[in-house]
Amino acid sequence: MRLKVDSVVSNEYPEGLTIQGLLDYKDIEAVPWLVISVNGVFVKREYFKSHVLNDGDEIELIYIRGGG
Amino acid sequence: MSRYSRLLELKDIDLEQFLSLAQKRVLIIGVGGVGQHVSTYLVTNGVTNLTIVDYDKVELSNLNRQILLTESDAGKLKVEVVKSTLLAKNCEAHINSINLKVDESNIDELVKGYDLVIDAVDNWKSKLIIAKACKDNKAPFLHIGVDGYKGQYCLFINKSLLDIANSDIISSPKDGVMGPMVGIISSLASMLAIKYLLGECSGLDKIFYFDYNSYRLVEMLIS
Repeated sequence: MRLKVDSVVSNEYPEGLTIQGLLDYKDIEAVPWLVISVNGVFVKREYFKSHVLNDGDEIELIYIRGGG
Repeated sequence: MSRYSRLLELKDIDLEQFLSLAQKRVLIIGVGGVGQHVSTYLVTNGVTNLTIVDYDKVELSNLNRQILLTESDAGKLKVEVVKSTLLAKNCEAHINSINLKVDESNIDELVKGYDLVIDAVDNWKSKLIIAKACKDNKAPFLHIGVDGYKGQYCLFINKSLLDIANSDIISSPKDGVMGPMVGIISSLASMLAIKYLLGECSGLDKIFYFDYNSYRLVEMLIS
């Protein structure tokens, strides 16, 4: 299926991926400072394993910072 | 009013609303890189009733990003140096400086009674302590975080930083920082703060994140 991840579009993704599945597919560790949105809406970490992605979804992965 | 003449040329700034900024009470916790940028923009743009909190002394390593300091300030209490410089920029301001390290024992009393509490501290432990107090006391809370080439800010009204970060985040790695990066994030966050204090409601409960390397500005709604 087609997903846009961090502004990069690809058709390579398998159908039925969850957010955690996407992270595994891209070999990304879900470190505590990783924050994810789907179609512009923040997704709580507890839903990473249950939130199923749909064709055309836009996903952003950001690494929030603690400095000041 | 002449000091604000360029600001008041903006068509969307109503004079009565603008004058109300001086009545708003704002607390800035941490006056390092972020806190100095934000306090400067607030005080010079009409938000003149500020309380600033910090416990650090000035070090030369601060100077690449902490724009209110000079070499001769080394060793002085940062809150006092910042207060003095802010008053030099706007003598009509009321700056209350508190030399204090925030912790669980003092934060609840500290955040009460403000129209906006700004997190400009440099570590996650303190950010989470402030976030919890703001949530418990229903205080509007502007979180700002920056290091490396990334940073984010979020003005929490109905949501909380605790919705997106838990205590596991305290272990996150720290990076170096280039001064202008602190300026970029702090300037964007200052715009949001001033607009909010003027009564604008867009941009609330949204994470704004900027990554300089990819030049990407990401917006996430916390629903």
